[in-house]
Order: sequence, then C-alpha cells, then structure tokens
Amino acid sequence: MSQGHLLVVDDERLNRMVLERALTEQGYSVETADNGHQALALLKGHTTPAFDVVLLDVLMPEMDGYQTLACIKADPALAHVPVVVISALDEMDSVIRCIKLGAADYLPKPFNAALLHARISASLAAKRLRDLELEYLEQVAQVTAAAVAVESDSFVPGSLDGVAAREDALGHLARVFQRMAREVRTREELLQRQVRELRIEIDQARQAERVAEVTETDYFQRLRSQADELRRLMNGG
Amino acid sequence: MTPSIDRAALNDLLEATGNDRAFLVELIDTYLTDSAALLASMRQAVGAADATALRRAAHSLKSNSASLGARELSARCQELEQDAKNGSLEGAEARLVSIAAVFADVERELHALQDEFK
Repeated sequence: MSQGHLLVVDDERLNRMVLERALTEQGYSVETADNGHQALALLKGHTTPAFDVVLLDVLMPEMDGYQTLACIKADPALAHVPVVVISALDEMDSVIRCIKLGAADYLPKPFNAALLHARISASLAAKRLRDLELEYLEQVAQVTAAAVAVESDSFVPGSLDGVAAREDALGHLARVFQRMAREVRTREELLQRQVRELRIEIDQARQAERVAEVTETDYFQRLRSQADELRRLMNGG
Repeated sequence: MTPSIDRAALNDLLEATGNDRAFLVELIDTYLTDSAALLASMRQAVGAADATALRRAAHSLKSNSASLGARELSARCQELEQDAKNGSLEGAEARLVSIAAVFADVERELHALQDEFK
C-alpha cells in the first residue's frame, strides 16, 4: 500500500523523472504536472483520495510556484494540503516568500534521498494529524446533532455507529449516548403502551357506567317487566 | 584534468532512483537533449536581449546540471542566471561561450559514463 499520494509540479522533465522514480522507490504513489495550471486541474479534479503532499517548483513558465501556491491556499478544499517548495540553495528569498504564502517546508535541489524522505514524512505526519483533527471535530458535531435529534424525537440509533466505533473518550461518549437514547426510547414506548391500555380500561369503565345508568332507571325496569310478560304470553304461559 | 562530473553526486542519484542503471542512462539522455535545447534558448535570449528568458534557461541548466553532478557547469549557469536576474546582459555572450565549452566536456564524460553503465 502507498505511504502517501504525492503531486510533483516541475517544468523540468529531468526533475520530474528523478523525483517520480525516487519517491516511488520510497513507497509513495506519484503524479506529475509540468506547470501550475495542470497542477491545479489535478488537485481539483481528484475526489478521494486526494494528494497528501504537493512538491512545487518555484520558477515555472505560464503559472509559477507563487501563483500556484496562492491558489492552493485560497481554496478551502485544498488549503490543508501541505506544499513543499523545491528550490536551489541559492534561492532562499524564494523559499522565504513561499513559506510566508503558506508552504509547509522546502526541499533543496539537487535532491538528497534521505532528506527527501524526511521532509515528506514530516509533512505527511502533519497532514495526517490535521485529517484526524478534522475527523474528530466532525464526529463531535455528529454527537451534538444526535442530542438535538433526541430532543426533537428524530434520533436514528445507527447514526452514531461510526463515532461509537472509536476507542477513545469520544467513542465512549457516543456508546453511552446510544445506550441512554435506547433506554429513553424503550421507556417512552412502555409508557405509551401503558397509556393506551389505561385508555381502553377507562373507556370500558365508562361504557359500563353508562349501561348501569340506563338499566337502573324505573323506565328500564318497567320495560324489562313488560318484555318478561310478553315473553311469558308468547310461550303460552 | 579535473573531471566535469562529480561521480559521488551521480552515485547518489543512482542510489536514490533505485540503483537502476538503465534508468540512469535514460536520465543522461534526457539531460543531454534538454541541455542542448536550453543552450540554444540561452543563445537566442542573449541575441534578443531578453533577460527573463535568459534567466529561465540558465536556471534550468543550472538545476539539471547540479542533479547530474556537473558542478562546474551548474556554477557557471548560476552566475549567468544571477546577472540576468539583475537585468544585466553585459558579458552574457562571453559567459555563454564558456558555458558551452564546459558543456562539451560534460557531454563527453556523460557519454563515456553511459557506455560504462550499459
């Protein structure tokens, strides 16, 4: 499995060839672009998995590294992707400018395999930490939404399964929440059943009361006597 | 005579790209083809007094030469790039002649290395 999906942006095909091969050797999967426009098209064209790190050359025709970096950082969907600037050691002013624009790090040319691996690993670790943080915040929002759903009686128990699978405190909270929501629901259903049964009993008692009210009147008693008399006559008695 | 190619740098490149000799031969081919085109662009830029184009081509040849261990050539390109960055084309023609001479040595040495790696 790839250690990370990287985008190499460099107008020099020699650099692209070297980086692509060296990074592939180190276990990464690599795509390349030879200018900023192409890089942005690749970055925006991907759904998941997106690129984990972008390696960006500064001096390029059409759209240079500064413009490309500014576009990446201005796009909320891409801003979190770490950008490592590729630069010769005599171009420190460019590196500083790029770091001010939001670059995560820089990589000196010509490339050193160990440094290449170390810098990319560090950027990947930062990216993964950020991804975990985003996932955590998203799952906290799911628990909050579940609490609102319980209040409005629209809670779907399975909606927290993903959060409940976590092994940390948030996962524990989600499991406790699911259990409590289930208990509340069970109690509510029991109460509703009891109320229904009680209503039936009340209705039956009311009906009995009404029957009694009618059968205990003098008029009813007279009618009953007359009916008995008629029955007796018809039977020849 | 001092070699034009730093073998240690070339060995680092070979190691970084998986010790694949055939790939290194391919990289040298790419370098030589692109360098010839870059030298032509530099000559054209000097003729047209286009400092921006000269800077860009000198930058590329500097960077590519450093990757292949052609340190002397890379250093000379860096000087020309710096002049062009400052907008100065004075002496650019002379620098270009010396760059072309160093490149001829680099080319010869790289061809020999290609034969060695094949």
